[in-house]
Amino acid sequence: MALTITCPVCGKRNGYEFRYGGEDKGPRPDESNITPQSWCDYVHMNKCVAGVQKEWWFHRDGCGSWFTIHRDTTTNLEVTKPETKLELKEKTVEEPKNESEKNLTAVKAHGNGGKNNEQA
Amino acid sequence: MNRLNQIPTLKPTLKIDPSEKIPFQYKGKQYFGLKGDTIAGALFANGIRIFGRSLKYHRPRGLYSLDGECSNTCMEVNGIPNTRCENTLLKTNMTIKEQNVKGSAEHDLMGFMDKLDFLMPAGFYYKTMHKPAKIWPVAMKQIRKAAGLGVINPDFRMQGNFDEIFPSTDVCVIGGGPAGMTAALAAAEKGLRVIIMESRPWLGGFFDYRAFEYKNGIPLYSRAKELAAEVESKENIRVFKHTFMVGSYNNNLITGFMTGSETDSFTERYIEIRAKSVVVATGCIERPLLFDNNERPGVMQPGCALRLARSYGILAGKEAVFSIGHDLGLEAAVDLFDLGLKIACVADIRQDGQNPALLLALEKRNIKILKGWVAAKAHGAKQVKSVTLTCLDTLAEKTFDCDLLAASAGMTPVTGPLTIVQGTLKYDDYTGFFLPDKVPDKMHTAGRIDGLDDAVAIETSGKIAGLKAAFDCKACDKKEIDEINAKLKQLPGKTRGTKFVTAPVKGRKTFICFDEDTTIKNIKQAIAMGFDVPELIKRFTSAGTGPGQGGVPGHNLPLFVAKYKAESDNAVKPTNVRAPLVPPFLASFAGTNHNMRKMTPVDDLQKKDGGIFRRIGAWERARYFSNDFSCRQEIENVRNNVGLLDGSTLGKFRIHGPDALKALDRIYVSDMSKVRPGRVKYSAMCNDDGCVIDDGVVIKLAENDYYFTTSTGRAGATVEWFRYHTRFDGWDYHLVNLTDSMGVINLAGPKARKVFEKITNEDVSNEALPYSGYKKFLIKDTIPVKVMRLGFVGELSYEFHVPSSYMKSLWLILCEAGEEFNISNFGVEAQNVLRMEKCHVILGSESEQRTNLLDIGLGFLWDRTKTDAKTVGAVALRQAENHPERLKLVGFKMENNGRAPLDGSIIVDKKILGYVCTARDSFSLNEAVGMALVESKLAKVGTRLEIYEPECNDKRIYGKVVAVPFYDPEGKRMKM
Ligand SMILES: [Zn+2]
Repeated sequence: MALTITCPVCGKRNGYEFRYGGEDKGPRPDESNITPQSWCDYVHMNKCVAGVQKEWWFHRDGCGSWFTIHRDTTTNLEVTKPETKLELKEKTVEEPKNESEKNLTAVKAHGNGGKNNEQA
Repeated sequence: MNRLNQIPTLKPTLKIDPSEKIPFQYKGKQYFGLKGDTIAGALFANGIRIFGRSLKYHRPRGLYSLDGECSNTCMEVNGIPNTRCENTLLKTNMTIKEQNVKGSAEHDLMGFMDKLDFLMPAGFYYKTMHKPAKIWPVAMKQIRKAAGLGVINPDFRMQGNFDEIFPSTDVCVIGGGPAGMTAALAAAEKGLRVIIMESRPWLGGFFDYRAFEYKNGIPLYSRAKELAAEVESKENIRVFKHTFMVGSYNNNLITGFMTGSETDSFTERYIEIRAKSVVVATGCIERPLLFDNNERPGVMQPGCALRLARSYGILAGKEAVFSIGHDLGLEAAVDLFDLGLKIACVADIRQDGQNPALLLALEKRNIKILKGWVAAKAHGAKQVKSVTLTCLDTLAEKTFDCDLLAASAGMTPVTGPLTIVQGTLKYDDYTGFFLPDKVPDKMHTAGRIDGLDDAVAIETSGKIAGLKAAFDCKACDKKEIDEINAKLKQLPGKTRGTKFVTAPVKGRKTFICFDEDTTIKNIKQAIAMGFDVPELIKRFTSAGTGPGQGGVPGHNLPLFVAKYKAESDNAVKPTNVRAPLVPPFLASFAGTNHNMRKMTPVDDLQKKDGGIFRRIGAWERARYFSNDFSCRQEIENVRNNVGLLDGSTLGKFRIHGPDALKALDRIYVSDMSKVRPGRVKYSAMCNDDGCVIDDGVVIKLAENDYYFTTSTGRAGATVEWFRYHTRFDGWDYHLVNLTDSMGVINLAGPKARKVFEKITNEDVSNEALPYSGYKKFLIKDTIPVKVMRLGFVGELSYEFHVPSSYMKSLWLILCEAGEEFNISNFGVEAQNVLRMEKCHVILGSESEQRTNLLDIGLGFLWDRTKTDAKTVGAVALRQAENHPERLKLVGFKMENNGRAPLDGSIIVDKKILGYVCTARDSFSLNEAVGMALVESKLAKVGTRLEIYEPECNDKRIYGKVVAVPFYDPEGKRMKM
């Protein structure tokens, strides 16, 4: 499990240390108006969001707290805010223009790679 | 073979010293290698050229690359099939065998398969041998025999120690070449913790084996040594050499495995690194050149030939022809010539664009170079004897005698670490590479993976990547990165590369994938059949699905497909790679079996008394105290005298704080405000489905201060359970797990009070401490003990809860006091029988996941009036209350004095109606009794139960539902 989880007490730790406690469905409903259906929904039914959801975790191998985090279920990454979504970043390594003429005289490794005719 | 031993690039471990010679067995004969040799290198040095035979056509295969790009050098080593001999270091007395041969690799009786290739077109697995259906079982046997390279012996047991470590670090650098090392140094200089992984047994990478000038007359290998020394000297850089990266995942989790040397404590070690930032500096491998017989032994990558000489002192042949498409090939030719290799000719795919310095160097040495020429065919049945070169323009041909053909079309970046974590690649027309396009957050690339080729540029890009990683760790500012970026712009950039894949040949014996024997002809067949995407062609022809993980065809396949279909460059799509990128042992993933277990404080005392221990969950518990597993003596001694049981594995907890009672009322089904001081309350916990998960006793120590027990198996989950079900309430209570800090002794039997009286002066009469009573004692004025009167086994009994540190003392005190009353140990099995006779349940035995509180007759514990407490399980219990189709727990005895059925036997008529939970031949009752969960229609006393035991050969046995409990129905004995 590559997920990391930020415990409010212990900070960011390996997902191994935690137990999942399900989607956040709010406090236990009042017992007076419960129907078998509504109870079953509360206990067993989940939204199964494809995206960011608020959910419970237990720091089993740590401080023993229950807490909620937001996690993007499509990337399996914790996100800081409900609306955050992590994206891959564009590669921005600066690519220097090839100055082959200037380098032709320098006998270095073979870094001056000249113009190859395309043969393929 | 005489090795080159005077060259400075030679690995120090390979210094020629006769006393360092390592003996090994190959085909029953003894050979010698040198310390530091790979198996493949040692075999090669001993003149072995054919290492094995190929998968389908049984073609001879030899040393082609050195980093495991193909399965050519997969052999059986010490009984382990498919060992990658070019990556595995030679160890003393290894036994090495060739694979996939009938006879020998040299004379393989299956060699005729090579002529039958026309019977095996692309996808023949899918297209033949399934019509008519009945031939399949026959064909399957033959295919199974033929498929695969190595053979696994089912009796083989893996030897060695397999270890695992889980380091965390600021920066993880993948690749110990110049870019990786400079990245590591740049990050380390910012005070960060760095891990650098390198798959070869030493740092140095692309510079390590090259004699060309770095700058100011310094050769590249010296620069490599200089960098490596600096990296190794840094205290905050951890160097993992001979470590293969196999996976990368979200949040910068990098996995790999380390191969142990002879002096390491492990054979292979799994590594899982959590980093804040990752630098991928995996460099390039060579991209194979395709022509007829392009995998014949004697054909080798120029880099392989160069490294064999420079790192291992092995000249790969006497006379060589080079057919290359990049400057590294020219450099290898020059350098190998200087090391003593004769060179017949160098064919360069390129018409021009070569490094003039290298051309000059060739000229000086009188090495003939043919520009615009390429190898078209290698000749020689088992090894290369000559090569036909062809001119790409005129198709003119020339043939040269040689025993080594160094061939490669170009280079290709190793991008697996990026793409398995969803980084994307983009085809770059200028370099002919798949270059990183979108890389995951906090991951950076450096060096040749970005298409750089100039030595200084490689290092500079490494430094930038290291600083970017430092920036991720907030240890570097943007300005510094910008400054070095500006410097990089002044340096030579990407090198123009060729897209050339295959010589102008028909392609019937032109292998694009060695592992799977896939030819160019096969690829053309697949395209003709409509497979248009490389990923699909890969599936259909299986090119790139072998142990080399696409190392040989990975780049050539998409290039060839695009070329053949005459697609534009931006249509060139790479095929996917997946973890593990390099094949590790399953044993490395399994790791060490640590057998972590808990022992009670009186473990040794019970062992001394003959206890036979069994693992129960995390614990070692005394199950029996003799070899009579019916435990007759133990049971009878409890019924007649007094017995002693170690109950320390029980979960023990203290809950206190202003909201402690509220929390108990949430979790326990009973009204916990009714727990009276000095009394023990038995209760149970359910889950939200009303299914019973735990039972135990609760005592009140003070206002909002309670002590309670849970079953052994639930102890670990109890805190989590309480906190989970009160997580919205913001209640103030402390829950302390005392399971390991408290021990429990159960003293049970009609003479238990007599023993207890002897160790205390206080009143322990039935009036002072009645059944269900609780009292604190101070034994010998020292040992604080909570004593509860319980009756689990159905006799007068005391449960002593005592700090673990006093457990032994109290145990010995009780043993001594009980001697005159014949006190003796009883184990878990005796307790199981004793409590079963009383029909006291053990959750997990008399219940399973679907069993609710009412099913097992514990409904009386549930207080249905405390709805405000929102008790866990109460809603479901109310709903299940009138459900007629639930199982009920009943007691039964066997008909005609029969023996007890096996636990878990099912109760049937035409279908399954329930099952036996626990049943035993009872010595106390002189008959076989047990408990079963049955459908409610069978629950009435007097009902006959038809019991079907496992493997009973359809012979049923019968029992009858009876009133419970079986033993002492009035419960007088436990209350006496
Ligand atoms: Zn925590």
